[in-house]
Amino acid sequence: MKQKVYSVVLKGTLLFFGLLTILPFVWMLSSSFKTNIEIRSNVQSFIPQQFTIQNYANVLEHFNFLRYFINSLLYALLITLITIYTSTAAGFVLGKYRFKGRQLLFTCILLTMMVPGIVTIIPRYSIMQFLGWIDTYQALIVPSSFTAFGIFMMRQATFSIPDEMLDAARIDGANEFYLFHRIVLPQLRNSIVSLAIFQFLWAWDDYLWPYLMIRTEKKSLLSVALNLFNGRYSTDYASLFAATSIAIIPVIIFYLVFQKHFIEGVSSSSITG
Amino acid sequence: MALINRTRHPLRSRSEIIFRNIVIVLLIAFFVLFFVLPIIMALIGSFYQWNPLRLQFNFLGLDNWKKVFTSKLFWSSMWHTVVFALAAVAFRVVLGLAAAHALYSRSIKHKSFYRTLYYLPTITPMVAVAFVWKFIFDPQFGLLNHLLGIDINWLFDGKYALPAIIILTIWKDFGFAMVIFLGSLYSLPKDCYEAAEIDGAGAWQRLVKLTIPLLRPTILFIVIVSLISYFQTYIPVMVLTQGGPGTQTYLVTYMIYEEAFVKYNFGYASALSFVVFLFIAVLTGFSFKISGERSLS
Amino acid sequence: MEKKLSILFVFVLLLNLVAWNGVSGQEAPLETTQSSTNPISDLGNPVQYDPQKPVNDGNDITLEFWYWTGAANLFQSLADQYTEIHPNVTINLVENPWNDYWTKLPLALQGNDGPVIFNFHNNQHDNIIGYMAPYDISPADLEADFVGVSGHVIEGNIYYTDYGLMTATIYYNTDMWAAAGLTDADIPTTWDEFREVAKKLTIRDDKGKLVQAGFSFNGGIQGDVLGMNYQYGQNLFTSDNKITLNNDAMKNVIQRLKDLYEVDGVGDYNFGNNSGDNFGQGMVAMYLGWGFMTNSLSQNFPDLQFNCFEIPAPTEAVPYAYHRYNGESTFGINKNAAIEQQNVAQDIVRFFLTNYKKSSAWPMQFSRQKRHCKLMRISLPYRVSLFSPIISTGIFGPVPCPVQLKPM
Repeated sequence: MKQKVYSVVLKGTLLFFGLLTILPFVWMLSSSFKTNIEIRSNVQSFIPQQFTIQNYANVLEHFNFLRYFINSLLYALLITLITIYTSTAAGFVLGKYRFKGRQLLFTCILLTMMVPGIVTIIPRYSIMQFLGWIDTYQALIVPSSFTAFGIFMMRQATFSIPDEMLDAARIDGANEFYLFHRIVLPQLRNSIVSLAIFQFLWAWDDYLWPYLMIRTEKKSLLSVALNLFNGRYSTDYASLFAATSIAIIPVIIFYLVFQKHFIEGVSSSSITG
Repeated sequence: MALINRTRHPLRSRSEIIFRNIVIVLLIAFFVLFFVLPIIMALIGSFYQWNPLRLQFNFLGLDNWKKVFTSKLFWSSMWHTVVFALAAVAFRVVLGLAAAHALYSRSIKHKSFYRTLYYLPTITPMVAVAFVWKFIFDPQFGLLNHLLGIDINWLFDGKYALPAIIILTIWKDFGFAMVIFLGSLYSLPKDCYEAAEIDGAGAWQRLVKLTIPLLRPTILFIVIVSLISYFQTYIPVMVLTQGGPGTQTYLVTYMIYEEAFVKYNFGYASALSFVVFLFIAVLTGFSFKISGERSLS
Repeated sequence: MEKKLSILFVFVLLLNLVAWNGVSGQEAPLETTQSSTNPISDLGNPVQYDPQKPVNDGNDITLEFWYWTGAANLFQSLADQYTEIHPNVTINLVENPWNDYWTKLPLALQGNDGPVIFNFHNNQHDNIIGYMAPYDISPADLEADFVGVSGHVIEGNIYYTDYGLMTATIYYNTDMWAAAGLTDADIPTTWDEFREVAKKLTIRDDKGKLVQAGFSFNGGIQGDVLGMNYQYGQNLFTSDNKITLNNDAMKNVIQRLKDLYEVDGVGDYNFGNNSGDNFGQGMVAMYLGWGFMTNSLSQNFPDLQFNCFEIPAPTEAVPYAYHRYNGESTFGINKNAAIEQQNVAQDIVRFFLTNYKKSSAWPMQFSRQKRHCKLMRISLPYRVSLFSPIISTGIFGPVPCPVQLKPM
């Protein structure tokens, strides 16, 4: 009996917090179908009293959502692919090869994880200017092509590959490139999925660097474009809700479709082990 | 499981050396260009009056550093950051662990449903959700005041502005901690629990005496990752309060952002960044120390 | 001494303007502008524009023109008018919100592909001046048309000048005004009268909860306070160019604003967070705002019925000054842009400066004068310039204290 009460209370609490967690999204969505007058009124309800899709029409007229969404998607996917590859390669070399200075190199890489991004942003900006990369996508992609976190994570992961397996392949005449692409990469599948998810979410969330680098509005990423839109139409609350919904909903759908991979990727990653 | 790889085969093939060299050269080139060089540039710059717009680069000696330590705004920002980081980390760990522990319980069905709900805020972009929360905190038509039946001007009242930013951060981040904890819980040895159950340990006792000690590395991981990222938080401040009312929600990274890209005092901003870096390094070391762990792995 | 004289000069002019305006009425100033001839002609030739002269030898050219959010319509029409005369020129307009604008513009100007021409504000003088090219118009010629150009001359060159004057005013919602039974005769001239009007415009519900604030300064207190010190004859700068804030005049000003909330209860610190927006949203009956808000309010809240009146003074006597003023600057030209592009930008500036005299849209935009506002003490034919060097304070922006006014 006591068990049962405990279980009901537990379920109730979980459900309550679950609702609380998604409430902001529900409210955002419902407000995006309200008129400005209703949004500002003293009487609030979750169901729009006067349902309108005018806000979305306004937003689509002034906010090239599809373009920014595709920019962001391509950017995040590209960064994810590159860092998976570079992190695994570097993790493999640092984890499985023995050479002088290996430990030192690894320690240095780890130290860079602790340097606040803002320290390096100022000189990086000058470097990009020197290279003439401002307002280009390589300015976004090249500086993110290696990540200390990824290298750290993949180095730990390579420990799970037995040396004997690699040596056996080597004796069979496999060269290191073959070994890396055909044995190491497939073996680290699970860790790669987790890294990919982290990396994708971070790239999707990126704000300051893309904001500083990209000038041409058509090349903007979604976060930056959204912030710009919100600055321009700061008094049109209903349109702001619509724009924000448009920016968030696809991510939520994407997440709901792949949620199993998202969550399991994170929880099965080596960092939790 | 620190160093499993023991002896390597003695022969080094040519392809191994080529592969290694390609990776190492690229790696070093990358880190030199995008980390070492910028860090050295920033360090040198911190001794200069450095304003790229006015093409100023005049040697100042220790002036920027002195200004950091005598600046009232820096210390109050630092204090806000510490309060913010500690509160957000504490709630992130406690709520994340509580949610994970509840979901781990055998009596709960639809685990993936709850996981999906709790993890939802984590995957949404900060800039976008910060805007939603800006409206949630509105004193006139905001959701929060209407739900709670209170009348608080969250973002413009010095008492509530920082807590508002903390609330947003906890809401967004606790799901991440939950998922990580959940992963760790599943990987814990089952026999310990069975033994504990046979010994008649209650649910609470099992949590405190068994689960938390076993999860110590995961807790440490979350604490460190959170501290590092919370010391660099500025987007919610930028969207919600711009540091206000007055300077009550200035967090150090927001202050650095403002010095660097609004006032263009690159030299002073660099000095500020290094002080923050030292703080993070010390805090991280301290976290390792109190947890008694030697390494994360 | 020069400063004192100029202050006196301003004072006298203000008085003149009051008198002059009192006679001229609502739509008159514009007419006056055109009929008044320039008495000072030995300064140089007025700026001329020849629309027949081809730009860039008639070859196609594209340039980027940056401006900040608030007056998209004006920039669009300027671009349209110009490209109608010169179809070989393509102008790409790029809009950014005010804050982002001043982060992105300096960064963009550092490279060699920044905007060729950009809207400029004098509070960013220090950050931007190093990237600006001087106008190919001589200061003497410019001075024939515009007043106070000399204040902007740097080593014989002019990089931007003021085309309009902006100051603060009290905006009021005319529907609420009428609903409270108020008429034009109730427009207050002293702060005591203002308090009474504000009380009449305040509405609370049965529980005493504020429904409509008579007056609000939420989110705008800095802009409100800095300038009202002049009403007590207190300058913002001391004679050695130091800012002075901790003085009796400032305390009086702040105390008065506090009393409006705390004693009279005409508003509340937590009733709305941005008095300008809240005014537009119909939460607030009166608020103190800068001239550009006339345009913002009309754009953002097309249904809003409003008007404005002069900021009240402590007594019936005309004060030393009502509030501070700031010039609205002409465009900047990027000195790192390709020379062909710079030449077109020079031509656009010249076009703007001459066209400007025919069209009142620009100064109207940024000055507080518009069809809504009939009470004015500073009006169009007068231009302002800074006497003292621009002093950027970071927080307040430049604070031009002594202004010089003269007829166009």
